[in-house]
Amino acid sequence: MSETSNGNNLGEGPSPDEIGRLLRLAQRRPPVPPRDAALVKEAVRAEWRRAVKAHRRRLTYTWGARGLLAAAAVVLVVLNLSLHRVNQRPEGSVRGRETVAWLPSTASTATVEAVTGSVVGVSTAGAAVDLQAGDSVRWGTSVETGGDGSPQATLRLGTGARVVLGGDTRLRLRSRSSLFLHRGALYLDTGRGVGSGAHVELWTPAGVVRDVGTRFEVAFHPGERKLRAQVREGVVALDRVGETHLATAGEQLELQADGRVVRSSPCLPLDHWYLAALEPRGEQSLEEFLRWVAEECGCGLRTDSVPQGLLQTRVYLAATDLSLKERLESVLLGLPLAYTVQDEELVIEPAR
Amino acid sequence: MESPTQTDTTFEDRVLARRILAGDEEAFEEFFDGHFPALYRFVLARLKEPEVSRDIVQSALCKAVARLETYRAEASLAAWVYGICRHEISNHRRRTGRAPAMVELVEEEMGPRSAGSPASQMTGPAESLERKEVAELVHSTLDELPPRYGLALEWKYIDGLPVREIAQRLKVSPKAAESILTRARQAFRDRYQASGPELLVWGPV
Repeated sequence: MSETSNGNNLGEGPSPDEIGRLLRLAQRRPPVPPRDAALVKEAVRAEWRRAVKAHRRRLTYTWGARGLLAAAAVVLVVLNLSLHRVNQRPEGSVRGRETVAWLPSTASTATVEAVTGSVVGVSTAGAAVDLQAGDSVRWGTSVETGGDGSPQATLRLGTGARVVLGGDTRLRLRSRSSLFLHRGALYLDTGRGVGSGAHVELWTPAGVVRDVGTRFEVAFHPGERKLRAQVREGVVALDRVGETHLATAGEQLELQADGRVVRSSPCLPLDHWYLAALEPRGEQSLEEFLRWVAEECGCGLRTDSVPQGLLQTRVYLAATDLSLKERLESVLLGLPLAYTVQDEELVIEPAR
Repeated sequence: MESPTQTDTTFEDRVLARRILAGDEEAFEEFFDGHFPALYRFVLARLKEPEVSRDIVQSALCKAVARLETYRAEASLAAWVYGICRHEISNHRRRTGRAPAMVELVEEEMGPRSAGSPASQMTGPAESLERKEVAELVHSTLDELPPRYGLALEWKYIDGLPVREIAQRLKVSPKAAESILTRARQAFRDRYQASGPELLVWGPV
């Protein structure tokens, strides 16, 4: 086809001049909403990072396997030669060779670890089933809880992250590390430190909360149009189009209905919903236990009037279904101590 | 037989795919920024629902990056990604029980037209409809081209930028920009020609 073909050649398509006319007639292609582009880009980027890692693992395996095969071939040749030389065994009678199969890590489900109230899994096709502890949940499934503000279900993701769902919550498992919170509240413990690699992204209609190795709570209530992210450990990033807000341990970010982001460091009540879902601690000193309780609540800790010897008392609580308040009270029950919360501080004093 | 344009495109796409798989952030940006807008418009034109379209494009692009190792450069990366996207649309329609929207073209209203029908002479409702159809066809044709071809054509013919400026934007030499424009025109012509008979815009009546 010639660059100079004219417009009358129907079989040859438009000439450069006609292309120019057509483009000017059509004008620019309509732009896509920047918010949509940003949201999708982040999701695809997360998938891309996983793909790159998987690709590197496969390459490593391929070269490793080739090295092993080469080494095995050398060994077999040497073995074969020596067998041939001493003529002790006929060829092909070498036994005990095993095939080592490499199975890629393709965990495709989350597991339900605990269920307290009514918890339903809704598949992408719309089928609903009651979930029980031990059930596996496919990606794409939405998990819906009923009940009050206490923890209703605990899931373990393929990444090892633990997700505790509060009451009246709907969470969709989009991929191994991407969740969509339609409504309600959840507490997420990724079980790893900052900079350890894999991240969990929690999407909500108002913004994306991305962990950077941490434990945090996210709540989104469509009626109030408020998104709250509260960090207990590590760092999280709250992404909205064009802006990212970071919060560190003890901080809370609240995205208001008008788009403002309010940062605070609240002290949670000891009976805050997800504090009942914390994993049990092993044996520790009273001081360590109190420090942990204070950190979880986002409060300061004052123990000035407690004898040092008493703070070193070893404590152990195996129960998992107690709220933080109940745990604290259980521990202090056997000790001559009492607690109060004053001015965002957990104050421990000798009992009167 | 592959045209030189197609060979160049697939070679560039193969290189881009390798860079993406190697973890090159710039390559990922180029891939996403180049393909997302076109795919979004493509899906939105068919499903008419912005949120659903966004989810479908997201799903398609996630699958594309996850399966990039399987891309063999037998077709352009754009064509390959479009294939995945079409599959996602079909799945969505199957899930929701929706049939594809039918585009009804009323030939009597449209009338016969040729490559030379001047856009400037279009007036009245029928012409307005035709103008819209032509614009959609041009946009979809541009969207099907490798991303920088579409941009180069828009910069050249809509914005009227000189080749030197286009070269700067594409981060290539002016000579390379000229070459890209030539290939872009060729690719546009091929695609537009291929779409024409289907939409009764360029085909003989």
